[in-house]
Amino acid sequence: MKIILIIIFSAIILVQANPSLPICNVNTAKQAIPPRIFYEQTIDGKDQNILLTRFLHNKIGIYASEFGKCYANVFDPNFIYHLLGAIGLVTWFYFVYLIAKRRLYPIIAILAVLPMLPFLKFSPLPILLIYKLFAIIGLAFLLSKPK
Amino acid sequence: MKSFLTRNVVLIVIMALAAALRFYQLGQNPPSLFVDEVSNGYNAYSILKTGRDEYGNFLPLVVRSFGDYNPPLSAYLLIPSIAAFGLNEIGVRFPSALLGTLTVLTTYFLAFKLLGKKKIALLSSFLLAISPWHLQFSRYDHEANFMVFFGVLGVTLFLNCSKNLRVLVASTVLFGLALNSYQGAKIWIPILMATVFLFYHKEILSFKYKLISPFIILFLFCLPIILNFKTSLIRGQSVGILAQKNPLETFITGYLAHYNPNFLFISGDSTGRHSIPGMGELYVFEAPLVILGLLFLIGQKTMGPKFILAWLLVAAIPPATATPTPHALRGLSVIPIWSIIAACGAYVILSSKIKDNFKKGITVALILIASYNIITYFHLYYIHYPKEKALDWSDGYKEMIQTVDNIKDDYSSIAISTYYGHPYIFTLFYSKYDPAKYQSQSADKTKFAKFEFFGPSWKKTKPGKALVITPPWQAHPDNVLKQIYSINGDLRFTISQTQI
Repeated sequence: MKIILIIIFSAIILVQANPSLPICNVNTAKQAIPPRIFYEQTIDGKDQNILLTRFLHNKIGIYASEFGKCYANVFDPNFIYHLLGAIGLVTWFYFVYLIAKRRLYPIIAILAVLPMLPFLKFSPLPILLIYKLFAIIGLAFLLSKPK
Repeated sequence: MKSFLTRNVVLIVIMALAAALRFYQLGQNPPSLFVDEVSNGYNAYSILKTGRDEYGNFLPLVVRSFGDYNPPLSAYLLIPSIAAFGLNEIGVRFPSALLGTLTVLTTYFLAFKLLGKKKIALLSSFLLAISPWHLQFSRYDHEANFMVFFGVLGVTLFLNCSKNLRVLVASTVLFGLALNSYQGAKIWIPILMATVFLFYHKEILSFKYKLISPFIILFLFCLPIILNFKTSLIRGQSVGILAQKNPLETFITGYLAHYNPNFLFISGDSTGRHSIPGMGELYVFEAPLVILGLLFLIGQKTMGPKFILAWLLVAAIPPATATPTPHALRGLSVIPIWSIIAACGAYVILSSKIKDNFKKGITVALILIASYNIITYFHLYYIHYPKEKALDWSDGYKEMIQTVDNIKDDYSSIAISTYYGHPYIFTLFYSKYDPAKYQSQSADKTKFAKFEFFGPSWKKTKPGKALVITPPWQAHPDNVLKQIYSINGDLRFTISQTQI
């Protein structure tokens, strides 16, 4: 019975449409820097201490913030929900919980590095496939869990 | 006394910090009073002076405001503050700042009771004291902030009731107050109470027949909603998801949106009054702490951590029943929980058995990132925010009304454009118009006394000179008396007069 359930739910996870991630990469991050610096430094105004302005509104900070946005997009629960469906979302989180609990560092590293792919302008397809795989493994673990 | 102070010195410092951050420049930043604050303030002033709201309702159980019917607690809480400080920014914002500060203290006791660790409790209250999300809503008058305080205090008292009926009754009263504080509380407080019951039903049911008194109290607090049931639904009908094409899908995506890391750590809520541009609702340095904290809590077997996780999961239900999402204001009830989770993460690092040098390295790196985050936040809040979001705070109205109030006796009529929304309430508030006089003319929102409020164009109906106040783009008489500028330098109002 459990195997049948795993097969059915896995099929549901696999046939979910692949949503597209927002366009967010190294180029968009670079493009965002000049207007943001100009805008933020203008708001600071002439009277603001120049060192403080440079310290708080600089290329590194803005680039880091843009990188953060791109990175976080891959962990957006709505992205995962549209990719895997409601059941897949739950089992994906269960899988993540399992790898963290069992300290499976190589898999944790994969999970942490995956968002770099779209940021570096590689295809996001591996993310979609690996997330589906994670969800299915999570599903198998969840259903085969002894009571 | 001395030993109490020495034992709690860290908590006292945290509380002083929380108070300083909530009260400093309270009247100046956010830059002006928003229309809802003004409405709430004037209604409180009206009740203080006459016992009636602006519509003449005696001690109202719902407060009518621009076609909406709000729970009454917020207006009543403002009365002592307005009596003490007057009808101004401090008078209106003081209760929110005070209860916001006390929420930090309540969170300390909540975290301590749920997790039994003083370090986590102190870290929780510290993170809440400096939280951009909580500071944003503690520095202006909004009912959601009151709901959070009464809700958290209600749960904390309940957890401490240990078969003491009086404490249980006090806890019920607090839940009742929270229920009457904010529109969203009508969904959130029942959910919170159901969650409490789910986890602690044995303790609750052990009171047996004595439960009748909390039930009666709760029923009494539900009366304002029951007696005004139709009007209670108006807000829900206007923002609720039932009007959407696919309500279930809207609910799910709305629910999940509140856990989006971009919303939490990078961009925040897009509404100008809800967060600072360039900041998430939480600090970026809290992201790894939240992950570690979640793992710590999931690994615990006791009731407290499970209750925290349940609170985290149910808190996004009320905001998901409305649009737009994610919504920092409607989701405010989760804020003490994020602080507790991040505090657990910090506790994990501090108490971990990893090599000392490595631990020091991580701690120093986190402190450096945290310092940069915090400095950036305060810079954005005090320097950027008033300039960037002046329009969201109805900036310019105060100066305009005060200018008009000084010269109004020279004119037979004063016409104010409705372009920026609800000028009548700003006029009442900033001119401190006698509520007793206004109540009799409150049905017509297009005029009172010599004030008239007009849309696209205004037609003179009375003989004598008239004062006309328009936004910069609108046609006005040639004789311009004064132009009112916003804090960011934008022209907001032109005050001009007719020749005859």
